[in-house]
Amino acid sequence: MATVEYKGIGKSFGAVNILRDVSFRIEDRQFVVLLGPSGCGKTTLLRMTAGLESVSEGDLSINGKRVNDVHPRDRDIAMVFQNYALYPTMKVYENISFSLEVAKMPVAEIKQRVERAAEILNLTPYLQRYPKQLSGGQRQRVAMGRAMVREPSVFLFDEPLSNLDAKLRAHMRTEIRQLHNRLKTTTIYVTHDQVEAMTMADVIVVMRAGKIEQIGSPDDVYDRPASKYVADFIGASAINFLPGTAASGAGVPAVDTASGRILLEEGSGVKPGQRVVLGLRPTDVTVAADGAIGARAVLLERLGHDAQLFCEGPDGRFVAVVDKGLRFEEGSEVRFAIPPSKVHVFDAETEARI
Amino acid sequence: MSVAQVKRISISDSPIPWLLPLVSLLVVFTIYPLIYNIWLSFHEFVPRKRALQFVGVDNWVQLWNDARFWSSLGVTFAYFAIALAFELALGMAIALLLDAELPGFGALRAILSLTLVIPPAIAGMMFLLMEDPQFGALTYILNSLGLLDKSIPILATSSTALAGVLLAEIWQWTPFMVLIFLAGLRSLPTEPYEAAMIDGASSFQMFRRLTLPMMSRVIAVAVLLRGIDLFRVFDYVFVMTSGGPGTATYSLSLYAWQQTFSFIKWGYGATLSLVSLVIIMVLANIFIKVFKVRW
Repeated sequence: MATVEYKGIGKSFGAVNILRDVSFRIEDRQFVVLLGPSGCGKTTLLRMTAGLESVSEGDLSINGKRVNDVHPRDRDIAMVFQNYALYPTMKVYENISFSLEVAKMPVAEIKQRVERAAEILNLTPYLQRYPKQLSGGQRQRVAMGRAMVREPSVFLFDEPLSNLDAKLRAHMRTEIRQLHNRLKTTTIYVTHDQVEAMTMADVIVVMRAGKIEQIGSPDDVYDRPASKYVADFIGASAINFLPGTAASGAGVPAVDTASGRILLEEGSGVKPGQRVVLGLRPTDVTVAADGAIGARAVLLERLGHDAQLFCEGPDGRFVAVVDKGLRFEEGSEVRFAIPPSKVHVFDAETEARI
Repeated sequence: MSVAQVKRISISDSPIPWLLPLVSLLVVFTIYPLIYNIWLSFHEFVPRKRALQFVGVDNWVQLWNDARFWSSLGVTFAYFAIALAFELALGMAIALLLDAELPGFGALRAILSLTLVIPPAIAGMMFLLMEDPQFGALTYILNSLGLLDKSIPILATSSTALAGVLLAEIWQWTPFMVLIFLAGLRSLPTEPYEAAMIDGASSFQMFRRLTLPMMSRVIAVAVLLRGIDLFRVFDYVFVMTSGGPGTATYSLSLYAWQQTFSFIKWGYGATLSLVSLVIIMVLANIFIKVFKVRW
């Protein structure tokens, strides 16, 4: 069981800065997801935690002990790689037992641990096979078994599900989370998939271009995105952005956009005349004849349980999740009602939440 | 051939037009000489008659009773085994060292292949000079280091002659192993090594449990290529010792050459080279079976 702490972590390859001033703390037993697009430095941060990359600046501590210069084997961590990194010339059993063998653990105990891990991961029938004789999902589980048997104090996952098909990915997602609920080992999980982050994390760390954009629980990050970037990244269907200017005068704060006037909540902190960008999630708007904003229907995309309506408005594309029973004439005007509490307001300049 | 005929052949589905050139070369230069060689081993040239005469299995019986054949076979095996062991071990060690991305190593890797552009006979000459008992550089160094007694001429002493020849062989061909192993090492995936590092493996454990097994096919190819070449050793012994002193460095190829071209015993020479071919084929196939080499 362990905590992990990053203090002013920086990483550069030559003149290129990959990470700048990254500081946060991971508590014991937490499942933390590092989320961001490719190239944001999340994998580099994970590899630094593992000891596979050197730390250019700052202090990296595991369990309160500075580990900047500690060899990977002495950090008491286990890692699951994106391409699994199984040992191709060893059987599944040996792949899982290798670290224990190297640690000179008694054979009987190795056997017991490997068999237990194999049982948890449904790998028992495959112990005598070679990695190349396994499917992607099975290889993925071997990689997890290899990490598990060591009973490390921190698990590191580097996009472990990105090579699996959609169905298997959803299945493994729940398996990994259940495993964490059972083992309660501190876990750092890197992904670019916001669904994985939302469904698995206790805490999401959203990263952008080598810096932390927001740290919070999945609900925090979804309900109160710290910036336009986070709002855009999180959420199954892409959020709508409407640029506008805060209206002056009227009793409640409001923003005038090209599509119409949108009312905000009391005390939302916008100054009259301020240029802002509004974020509206497709799931938060409803079709209403007397709605605040209007757009022309372009396409209805049925998703099974509901449907996505694509519209073309004065502010560009506007998407809403609607009842799949509704019918729209292509090119007809549709009006949407917007609950003030669901409007995210960002400064047009800084893109930070207001 | 008319243009239309050429066109018809060039789009033909039949394999024959495509295989014919290569097959005819193979027949003329490999199959026919092999069959002729087998035929020859049951004949012998009779100088009196200036003709080949059928002798049945005489050549094979003679071979079985020929102490010089057995001695040359022993020399060939010793040469083959020692050279292969050294070239494999040194080749792997140097390849592992050169695999690092350090400044200047690219140039080192390039320099290494230089020994391979020297004709083996010339390399033999070089070592012949270097191992000269009076003014050879190598002799001088070995004498100074106390590794060799001043009174012992390396290539003219039966206990050291084979080692003297092997020096040239190993010097020239170890870089060949290095190049093959380097190519193999560079194609290995890096991720298993990172996983092993986290798993706590030492460098030696990684080498033994990861590098060697992953390199097994490359090593097998190197052993086969080099092994076949080593078994027919001729140039170094011919240039450096002519098989001497006595029969201390008389290899099978050299003996076959001597019987064929010096003694004009064409039938016996053919028999000796056939034996050499059979041994290589048997050894190679055993190796492929035992080490489960798959291509």
